[in-house]
Amino acid sequence: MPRFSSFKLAVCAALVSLASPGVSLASGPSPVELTQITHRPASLTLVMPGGEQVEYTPAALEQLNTYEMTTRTPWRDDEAVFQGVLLRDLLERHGMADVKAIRVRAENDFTITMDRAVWEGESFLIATRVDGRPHSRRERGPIQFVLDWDAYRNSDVADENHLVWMAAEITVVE
Amino acid sequence: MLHRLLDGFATRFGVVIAVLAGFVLCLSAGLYFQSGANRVLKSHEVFRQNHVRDGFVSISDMLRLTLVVDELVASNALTPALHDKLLAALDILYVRARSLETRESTLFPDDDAETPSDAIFALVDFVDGTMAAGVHDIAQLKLELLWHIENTRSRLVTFLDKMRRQEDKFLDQQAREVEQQARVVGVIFLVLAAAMSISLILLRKEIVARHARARAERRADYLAYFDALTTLPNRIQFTDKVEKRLKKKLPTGVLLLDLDGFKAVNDTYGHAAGDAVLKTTGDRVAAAIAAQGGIAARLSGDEYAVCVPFEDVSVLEFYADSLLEALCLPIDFEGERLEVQASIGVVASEQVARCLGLTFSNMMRAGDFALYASKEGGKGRYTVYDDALEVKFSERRGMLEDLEAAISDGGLDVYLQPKVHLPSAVPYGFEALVRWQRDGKFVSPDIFVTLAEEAGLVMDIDLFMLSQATRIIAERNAAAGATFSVSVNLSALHFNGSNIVEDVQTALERSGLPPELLTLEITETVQIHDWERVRHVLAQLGALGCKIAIDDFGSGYSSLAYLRNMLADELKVDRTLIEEIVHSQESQHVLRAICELSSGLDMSVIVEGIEDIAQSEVIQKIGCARAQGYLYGRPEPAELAIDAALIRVAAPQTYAS
Repeated sequence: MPRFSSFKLAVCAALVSLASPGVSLASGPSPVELTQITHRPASLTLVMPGGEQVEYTPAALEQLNTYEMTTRTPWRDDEAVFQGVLLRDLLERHGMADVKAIRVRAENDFTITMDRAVWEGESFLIATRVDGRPHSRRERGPIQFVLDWDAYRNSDVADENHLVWMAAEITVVE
Repeated sequence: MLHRLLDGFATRFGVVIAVLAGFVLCLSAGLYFQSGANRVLKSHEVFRQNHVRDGFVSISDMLRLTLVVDELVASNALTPALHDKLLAALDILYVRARSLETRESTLFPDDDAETPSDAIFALVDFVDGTMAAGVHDIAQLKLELLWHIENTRSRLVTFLDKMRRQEDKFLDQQAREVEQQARVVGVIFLVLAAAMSISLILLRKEIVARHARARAERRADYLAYFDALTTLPNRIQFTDKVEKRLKKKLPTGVLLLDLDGFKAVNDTYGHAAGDAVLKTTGDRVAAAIAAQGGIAARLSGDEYAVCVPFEDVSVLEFYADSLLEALCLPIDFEGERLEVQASIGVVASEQVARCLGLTFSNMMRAGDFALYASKEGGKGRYTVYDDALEVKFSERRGMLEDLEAAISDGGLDVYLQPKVHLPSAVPYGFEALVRWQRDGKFVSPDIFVTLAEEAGLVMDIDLFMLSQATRIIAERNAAAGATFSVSVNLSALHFNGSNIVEDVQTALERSGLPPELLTLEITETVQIHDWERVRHVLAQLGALGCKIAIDDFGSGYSSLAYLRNMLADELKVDRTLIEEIVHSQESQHVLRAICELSSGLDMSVIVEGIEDIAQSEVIQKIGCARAQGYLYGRPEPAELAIDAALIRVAAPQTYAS
């Protein structure tokens, strides 16, 4: 077995750390316990492959495991604490984790198709609260897809179009 | 001009400048492209930011609100569902306005006009205020909403128009950018094409020069080791190869060949014919030994050499025979049949090792001696260097050593033979003739002069005679008040690059002999290649004041070429013509012709070899006024000859039958 000098080891270590930049810096959503609050009227409807629909209010969404994340968005210059559930969890709950793609529609009829690689590659938070308050429509709520700012900036798969605000419907694309 | 430019580029300085210029060009082009690309990307950002989309979607959002208003008017009551819808439509507009607001400040920072976002915020504020105060008059609400919607719509259209102009501007910028870059790329390509062309020209120049150098080197290599005319190995290569064989003590036989009659071919048919003979001879020699793996070489002129890996004399004799046979075949040249034959000297390493010591130069000397023996024995034959020849060779070497010593020690004697006027037979001068006593015995001049010629000593003898004869005659003339002239023989070798003019001048100055009393007799014993030089030297000698005579005219050597080229004052008719003159009408005709010829060329004629009165009478009848021969005096030691001449001058006698 070849014997590495300490210098070579140091170089290897430096190379490894260069090869995976930001791994230790990225702060994704972390689990959090949320107390119940009164949300603004809103809903997120899941349309299954067979056409079956499930409607979630923000409160209903929060029945899943909840997370929070302190980050900014393209429309916020200052950081805010976003709380909500993971898109991945929601899809898994309905057996939609391995579908090819989903189409997300907003209340203002904005529509975007997300390939599986997008939600598998990045941890999308479906935010229902901002800074402990119910998310409002005028703050791009009440249901908003949020990504950690650094992860968003460095992402190869996600872009601004995936940060859907006023999210209203998720449809499976077959 | 181009060559000077290219040469300038090909220097170290030129290359550094060219590389730097190329580097700077590429770097500045790269920077220019990068800044252009940045400008294009920046303007593209405008489209990427969905600015226009925001404007259009705002109109859609306005339509959504309008529909809610329509519903409100239709139902004439703000139901909770309609309330939610109205709020949702407002919220959507509000968020859109926030986006528009950002864009407006980025895109049109200096625009003070009321913007669509202002209009939307006013609309939202109005509805928020109305909702907070409670909706009482639906119709009034509708009117005011429609006014706000109309106001916002018109602002949005203005905004979209501005956006369109902005986009047009960016597109124009991009187009200009692309055009500009295309021009820059064109210029760069032109520069690169020019640089590439120059490089290719340089490269081609270099390659052509390299090929030429390689060809010249190959040619030089070839010429260093091969004879260009016959393509046979030359003397250097022959020497190398034979020396190697001899060092390894391998049995070696050398045959040295010399063409007989080559000079006659050259003189009669010209140099082209001579070259053809040399080439054909080369081919024949090479063919004769090809089967045995020997070496055939052309050493110089009409001398060839063959080296074969045998030392058995009978084998060497076989080769010599076959070479003689092959070489005596006539050669066709432009319809002429040229006939030459060869003399060959054969030498075996074994014989040389035994007698002389086995070295290359000994082999060649022995071969030369054997060749010389063949020539002497009648040409067209071969002679093997054997014990008998070895004895002669040793003798010859001994004689040569003694001759060299005699020349350097002044051991040669000057004899004088009188030259007389006819019919008085009064001597007017002498021919100086060299004599050599070796161990108290005279050596025949035929022998030792020939030996001196072969050994390259003849020029030394000439110079010795020149200084001695001029000194003796000058002294005796002065003593006796006489004006005897003297003729000294000069080999034509002197014309091939020696200092003969200075030597003659020195002899004249040292002796004090008036130049007009010195005649230089030139014999054609070597082939003269550079007639121009000969004429130049003769003109210089003439300028000194001395006379030039063509010696032995009518013998095999002196030719009409000599007569034509030499600025001679005197023609000496060879003794061979005189031998038969009394009985031979032909000889008399020839002599008469020579006399006429020389009078035409303003030369005087002197006839050599007059031995009896009959000959004297015949030549006098023909009209010759000067003669030399035993009849008038044999060659005698200088002092005796001059004494006798002085007596005869004092008391002339007539020779008559």
